[in-house]
Amino acid sequence: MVELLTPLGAIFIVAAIFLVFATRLGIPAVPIYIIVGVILAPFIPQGTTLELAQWGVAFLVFTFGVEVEPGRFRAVARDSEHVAALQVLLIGSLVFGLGLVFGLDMLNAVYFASAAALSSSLVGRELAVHDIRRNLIQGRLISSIHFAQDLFAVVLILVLSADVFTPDGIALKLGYGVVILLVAALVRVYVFDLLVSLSGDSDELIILTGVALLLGFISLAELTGISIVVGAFAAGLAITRDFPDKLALEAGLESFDDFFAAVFFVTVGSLITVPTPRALLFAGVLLFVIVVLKPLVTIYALLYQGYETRTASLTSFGLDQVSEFALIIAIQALILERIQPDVFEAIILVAALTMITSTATRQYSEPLYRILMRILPLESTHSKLNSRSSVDSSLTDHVIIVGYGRLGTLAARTCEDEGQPVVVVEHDPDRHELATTHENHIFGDAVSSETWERANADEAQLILSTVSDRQISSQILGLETDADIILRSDRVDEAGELLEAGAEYVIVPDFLASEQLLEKIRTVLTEDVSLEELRSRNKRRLHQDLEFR
Amino acid sequence: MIGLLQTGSLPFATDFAIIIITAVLLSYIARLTGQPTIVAYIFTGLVLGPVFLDIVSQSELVVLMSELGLGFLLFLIGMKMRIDDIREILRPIVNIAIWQTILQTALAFGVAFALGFTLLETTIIALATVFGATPIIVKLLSDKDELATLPGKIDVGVLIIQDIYLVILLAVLSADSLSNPQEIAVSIGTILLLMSGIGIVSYLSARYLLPSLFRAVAEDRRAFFIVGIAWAFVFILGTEQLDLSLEVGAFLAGLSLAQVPYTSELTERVRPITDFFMVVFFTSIGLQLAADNLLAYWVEALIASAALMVGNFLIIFYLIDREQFTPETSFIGSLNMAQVSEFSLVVGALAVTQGFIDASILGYLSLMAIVTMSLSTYLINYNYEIYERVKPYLARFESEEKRDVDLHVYRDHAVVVGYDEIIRAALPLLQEHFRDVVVVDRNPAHAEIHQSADYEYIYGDFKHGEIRSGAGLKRAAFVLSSTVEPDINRILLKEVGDETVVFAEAESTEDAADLYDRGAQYVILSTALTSEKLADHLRRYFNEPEEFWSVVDSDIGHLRWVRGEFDG
Repeated sequence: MVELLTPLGAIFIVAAIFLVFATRLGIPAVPIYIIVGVILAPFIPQGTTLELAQWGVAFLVFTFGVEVEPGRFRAVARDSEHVAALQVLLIGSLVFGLGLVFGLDMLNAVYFASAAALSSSLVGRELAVHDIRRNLIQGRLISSIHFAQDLFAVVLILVLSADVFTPDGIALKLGYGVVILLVAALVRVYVFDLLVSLSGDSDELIILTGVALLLGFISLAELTGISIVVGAFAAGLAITRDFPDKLALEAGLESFDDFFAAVFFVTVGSLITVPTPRALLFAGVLLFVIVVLKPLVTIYALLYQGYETRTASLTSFGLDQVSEFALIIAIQALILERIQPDVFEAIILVAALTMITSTATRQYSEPLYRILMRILPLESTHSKLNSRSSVDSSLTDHVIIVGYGRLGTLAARTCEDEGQPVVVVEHDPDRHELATTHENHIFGDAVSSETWERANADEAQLILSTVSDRQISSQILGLETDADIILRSDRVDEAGELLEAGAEYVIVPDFLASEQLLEKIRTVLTEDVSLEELRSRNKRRLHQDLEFR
Repeated sequence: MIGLLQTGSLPFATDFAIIIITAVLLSYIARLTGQPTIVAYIFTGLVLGPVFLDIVSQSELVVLMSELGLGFLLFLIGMKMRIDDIREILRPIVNIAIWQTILQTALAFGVAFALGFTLLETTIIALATVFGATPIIVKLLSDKDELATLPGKIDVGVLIIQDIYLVILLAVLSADSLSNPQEIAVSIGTILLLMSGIGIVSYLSARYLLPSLFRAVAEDRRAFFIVGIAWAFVFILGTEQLDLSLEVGAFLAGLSLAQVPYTSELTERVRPITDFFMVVFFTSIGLQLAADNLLAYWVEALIASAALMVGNFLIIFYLIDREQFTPETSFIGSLNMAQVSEFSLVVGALAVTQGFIDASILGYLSLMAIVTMSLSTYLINYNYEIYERVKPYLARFESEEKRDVDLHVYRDHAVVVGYDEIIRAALPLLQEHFRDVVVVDRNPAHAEIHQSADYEYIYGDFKHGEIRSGAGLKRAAFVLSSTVEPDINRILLKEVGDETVVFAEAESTEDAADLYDRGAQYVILSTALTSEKLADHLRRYFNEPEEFWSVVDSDIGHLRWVRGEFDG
């Protein structure tokens, strides 16, 4: 019987009880784990549990590494690197300065600043998953800012793992880091596919191969004396994204991730003791910076870049928490005995707190945004909106089409074919680019009233939304206009509600598509067509569609 | 706080890296030679332990993870105990399992005693070598798609009954005092009493607590997993408090989940991490063996392996035959079972810890496991070919009364992935045409709709291989996938048979084209279908407003009707 079994069991049992309630409230798991850790602190033996917690670090970083694709670097560089850099540097240097004022040494001031500047992709993305999945602009901003920050954090961890902070010491570590990353690149290019083909479709073997790569690279990192975080990240890079059993590997890693992340965050929480007044002071400062200052900086930075106030505010609510990487930095520093206990405790405490407050700001993002609008001089330059939009302000009896996806495109063309003037509203830069072929187009958020004024909504004949977004639908139904309203919803029950709320018609794609599908199924089941013929017939049909577009 | 951490940096990975990399390398070799991975895991322990390299030490974390490996393995086994799966042939299976246990114990006892082991050693060996190797049989049969055949079902059923016996055996062996018959009787009594107590708790919770508990967290993948793990730990720690072995608790925790609909998904979530812990577990067994231990009784091990493989085959053949199945079923069913289980090592290791036997007997058991497992892999892989060869000699077992039970197997059925408007509309049509329609859905919100419907329903994510094979994907005649995740549709298209019609859904034209290239007969692009309709609607709106409003009215009426039906 192992001594550690009981604390480990206790961690999972208590965490599960808390999670059952937390999921009802929509609170992410991470802060719950930390709180569970605080509660269980007396029962968790620190030496070995901390060792187990390292596995949590390893898998967290590994999973991030697996997600990192060379292609994404470019996308991020285009999108929001500037914002990420600006925000990280501004907040970071401010808090670094504050730390020095409070009498911290340089190193501890860096730890302090990293907690303030970096925000948590694990929590932030979980909260914003809806926006990210729908590819809304704030969703994309949030995930790409997180991505840039995480990369920055990995480099920071590499630098901070140096034994001595001389240029030579850091250069040596960086050198080792680069070597390990190179090895990872070699594995990725030459070895990994071979392993996949050798595994012969065995899910079990693929998953264990992934774990073996992780542990192998971590050992390599340990041998060269650099942080295991870098090893784990490199291992993630060694795995390509596109291979047949990827699904199995991802699903398998998810289990490891969930298991060890729970241990990690609970352990982190268990390291908090009763905070000293000094720790509380640090915590207060961090809390203020993260909850108040950081969102403001983000908002102004985005406004400065020309985004709309709503986009800027919603994005900032996805970034107002301490990063799990800051926790990793703190833990590593604790193991190296470099961090002051007060700073450490402040960081952990504020991490748990901000991850919960972030849930709240996310859930109440719309009212918060309206409050912000009232109390702050938030004025977008509308530069994005202005420079990209073009609307004839004297339009009347026109059709406003929200969204320029497949549906929107076809609708806009149909209207123009019928000689009806069209205004296209689109918030996705790439799609808006396509919409510029129409004379009137707006690059803007369909939830903001600005957009509707510009589109001259009160004079329109028809407003057609091709976006299945409850908020946009409500906004349209709330407009003061006599225009007919056609909306889109992906759910039948929601469609019913929209009809009751005053929409003339609601498009439900699945519903409309199902009739045609039934026909196809009947054909297959009753007619005597060869499978190959059926396939090529339908495929041709798709290509005709494509040409039509 | 800091004082505890004065070790500086914690080198945690090296031991595990060695273990897992060795295991993976050996697994690749096993894969190439057609051997199951479990053989590679056992070898990993031997290679890394004192027998060969002696480079891994048994640190606290290694011990912890190996304990977890065994615990989670029994948790998984418990979850697999779905009586429904073998209900059709439950009675013959119970008969076979009970007599097989008695006869095989007697045979193993006789062989070991004849080879000159002491009475105690003989007893342990006899107890340890009764079991068939579940991971090997299940894995190989599932690869060959024979799990749902009659011999496959008989084997799996017998293995399930054996697991119950195994759990009791583990509990008894781990009891503290077993020095005289009276004490043994008392501890067996206590253990059975305690086990039935926990059994009642697990039954009650399966009845009243678990369905609603798991429904509450099923939406959240992480919470779902953590609650599942926590449930295992509740029983593991509970049995610990009662001085029972943790395997008993883990098994009963799994058992209580076996009849809950969410189990299939939970199994797939727990399995990867269990595989990893199992590697550590088998390594830790290997660590207990010195070189001279392993080979101390190698001649005896080879003789016993041969005797047991032949003996087990004959015993099970006789038992299945006695239940009036055809000779083919008896032959295949018994050929599959001719090996010693990995649990012989578990029982052996436990007996070493308890001081009943010394490590050389564990070495003997390891050798037997490796030899019989490796050989029987080929027997299973070529079972039907072997049968064809020996068929003429089995004629004397033929008789008019013997016939196989007609098992219900999904074949030429329809598999439906996910559930939405499109699927809902299509289901009645599919049910009209196919005897079986299996719906696989990972959305817990639909669970009640599915459970009250008259098609088969599996809760789980289609990305897990086991879930796909549970739905009989390879034998399906028609697959309708409503997921737009290209990865899932791709793996689906890769696995279906040549004659299967696949309708899949896609979100973009690129994905759609890709799915056609991979063999889909029809790709649903709901926006494409919709956009045509929308264009029609718009043209009417501008040119023939009255017609537009009437069409729209009828659409809305239909929509309202569907909605009413959906809610009701």
